[in-house]
Amino acid sequence: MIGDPPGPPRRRLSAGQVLALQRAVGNRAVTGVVRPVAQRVAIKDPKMTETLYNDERSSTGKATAKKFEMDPAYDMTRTGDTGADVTVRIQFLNQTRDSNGNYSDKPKEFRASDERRAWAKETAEGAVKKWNGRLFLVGEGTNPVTKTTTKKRLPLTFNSVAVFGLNEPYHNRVIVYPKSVVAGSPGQPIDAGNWYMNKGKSYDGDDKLIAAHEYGHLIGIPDEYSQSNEQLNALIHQAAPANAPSAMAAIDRITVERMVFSSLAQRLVRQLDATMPTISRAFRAQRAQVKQKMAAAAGAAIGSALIVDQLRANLSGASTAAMAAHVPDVVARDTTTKFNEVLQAGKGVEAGFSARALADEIRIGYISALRTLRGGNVAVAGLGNVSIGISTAVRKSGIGRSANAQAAGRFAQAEVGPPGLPKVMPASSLAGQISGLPGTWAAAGSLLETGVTPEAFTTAMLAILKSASAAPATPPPPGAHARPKLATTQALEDRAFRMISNAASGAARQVAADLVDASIAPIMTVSAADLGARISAEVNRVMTTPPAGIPALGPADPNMAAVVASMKATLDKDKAATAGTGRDPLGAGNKKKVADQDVTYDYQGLMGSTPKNSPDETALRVDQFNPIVAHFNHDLLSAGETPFTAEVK
Amino acid sequence: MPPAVHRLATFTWQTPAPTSVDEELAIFDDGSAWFVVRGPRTATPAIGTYRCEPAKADHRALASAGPGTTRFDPRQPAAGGADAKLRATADRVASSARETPDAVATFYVRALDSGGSGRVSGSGPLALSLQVVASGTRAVEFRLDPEGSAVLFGHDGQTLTWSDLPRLASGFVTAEAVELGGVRRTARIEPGDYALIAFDLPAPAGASVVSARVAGWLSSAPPDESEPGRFELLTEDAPLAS
Repeated sequence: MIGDPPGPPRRRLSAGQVLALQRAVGNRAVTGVVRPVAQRVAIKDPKMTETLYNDERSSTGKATAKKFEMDPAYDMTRTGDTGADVTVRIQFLNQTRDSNGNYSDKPKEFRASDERRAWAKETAEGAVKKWNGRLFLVGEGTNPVTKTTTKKRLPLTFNSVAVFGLNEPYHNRVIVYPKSVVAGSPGQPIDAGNWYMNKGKSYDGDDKLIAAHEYGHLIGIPDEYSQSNEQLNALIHQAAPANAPSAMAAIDRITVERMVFSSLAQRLVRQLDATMPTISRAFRAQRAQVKQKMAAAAGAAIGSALIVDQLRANLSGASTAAMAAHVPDVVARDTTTKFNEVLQAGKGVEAGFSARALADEIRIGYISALRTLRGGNVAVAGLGNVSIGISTAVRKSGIGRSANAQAAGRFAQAEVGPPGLPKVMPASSLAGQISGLPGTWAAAGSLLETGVTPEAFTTAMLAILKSASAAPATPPPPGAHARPKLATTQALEDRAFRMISNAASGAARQVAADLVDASIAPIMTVSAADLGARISAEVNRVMTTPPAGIPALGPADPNMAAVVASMKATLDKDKAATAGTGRDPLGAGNKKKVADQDVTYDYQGLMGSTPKNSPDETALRVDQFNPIVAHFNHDLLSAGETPFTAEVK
Repeated sequence: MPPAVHRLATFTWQTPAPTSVDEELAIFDDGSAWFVVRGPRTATPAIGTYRCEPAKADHRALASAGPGTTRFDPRQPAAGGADAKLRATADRVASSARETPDAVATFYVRALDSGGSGRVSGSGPLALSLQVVASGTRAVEFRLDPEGSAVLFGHDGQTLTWSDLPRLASGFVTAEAVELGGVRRTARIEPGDYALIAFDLPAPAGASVVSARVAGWLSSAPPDESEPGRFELLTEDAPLAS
């Protein structure tokens, strides 16, 4: 590790000393003291630990805590009132890890020709770009002579210096792995001490963003993802002003809402599966009128100029130059005399209305609609955006024989409908509403009338033909083979007929699928939104309504109430088990047994976890710099200055 | 019909967005291991199911961790000791399964008039295709979520801009104009088949490569799973024409 650096001597005079100096030797000497000079200190914090709930344990299905270490060290330099900088000297070396992540040899220097040298230098320099231009140290100083007070705003610049010699002084050591080692493969996770040229797919696509995140650890800023409720609470207190109202009550409500949804979701989809025979029967009963309408649409579409022109283009592209001259005649003949649109339309509708195809469409439509209830990030005042992760234990809590699972089962049956082919399907249930849809198709202005049209058929068939023509126009991807050109009249005629038949049949299937999709999508959307509103209402009833106000809310759905109570109890238990353990429950100061957690939270920012290219990607907060500011105030304040604070842009 | 085999243990590798790794190894009582990739951590832009029969000792070690799910975060090292050994075994079996695809779809994006590698000038529409190649021993079944997917344009290693997929009027199509589904209905693609969807987008100025974030629902699954699972992957960069 680096020792005290050689640098300009530190000049720390009190206001009284400056005044005495002025009296003794005059203003010129005083000016010499207060002019901008570089003061440098070596910062070496004690080894830090952090706790992340980033794995799930099989026996509990919950997130389990693990401890990680950091070793922050850097130089901090102040140049008068013009600025300050933080410099980390990173020693980059070569070493090998086994599949358990342990080092299996001693660190060595890179050979002079090793491409890792240039990569490491560029990455180290790039790491600080996300940090620079964003942090200022703000304070004020009183001139001991004139007694005037000046506001000061020092830009804090971050530097990262790459060194490659085993014996060169450094603050932190980083092992760099060659392209042949993929980050994220067994035993090869990226962390502050291990960087990878080949980051694989486990990590974000931006090397500089990863390096910027790891640079944060080198200057003592811990991770802010995979946090327990208690850790998030501590983070909020660290970030928010001391007198700000706590945001945790609101986060807890949203957390319970998402737990309730997660507990119900799988049960709801299974219940919809159980009602599928009723739904399929209702749709399949209308096949005849859909086929009739589809045949009419196909007949009008196939002879259209748009389709004929596209067919000519497809066949010309697939033929030898000699055969291309025959294409117009073949297309004209096949689009008028040879083609049987009734047959192709019927085939397409049959395929689109098979029990399996309908079940697939309806199931995925419902899962997609429910997915919206998983919710996005939660904006936390004073902190930023936070995402919420729900454990497997909660997601599976609606299945099985527990009291919660039984309540979830009863709720799902009332919500979706009874299984099998019941004599009467409640019209208000989800399955009842979906089953009632095909019965509306005979009416004027119905989705059948507006959806199965020559225009819709033409659009689908044209899209199919365009995609088919694109296949030979681009080199096939790995694993696929190019087809030979059509070189005989027979081959051309066969291909033309197959192409028209295939495209027409495919268009009928797509238009039939679109009819089902357009019919069910609004019902699914409304059903999911209604479910979300009811979950939210019940959670609010339990967690915010004072006892006196509850009668005014009317009777609760007993099954929903039971699931909400169960999830709230689960969260309360997790909170009680970790109460008071702060940001680092596995740290040296905490003696409490660390319990697995049903919910984890990710701060959305540079030191947390965030979708690529989102505005949160490089988010930083003032409180993350508290230790650096404390070092500055302890070691680098000038005479007459009050402690500085951080300002993040 | 209930499955003929029973699951003994499950292991998952997961990371949050943006990497969204989502891989699952399921150990069954017939000695088999099924590996499901819904968010790959390797460079291959493939989703689907893989199957292998691990060594008996590995099978026993993994089965003993059941019946619940053990989740690993590939961004962090194993905790050490028994945990590390279990993870190493699960990793080894997953790697082995990856060699024997069961029902796998690999996605690519190509500019249809590709050939150059210069930068797009930014005028007129760009003809692109989303391509899929199926491999394995069974048809792979999936459905795209066009709203969750996007086309990314980049230059010099950085994403310049991105675009939603346009409304797609059909699913994946073979050179013979056979429509295999995938858009608003489930695609079923036999091993060895190659199909694509052609579409146009406005050309962004300055872009030299194109890739896609492809999201949707994977219906192919181990024998005891019937619900489709969400998938998401990022295709490789493909050059744009100058």
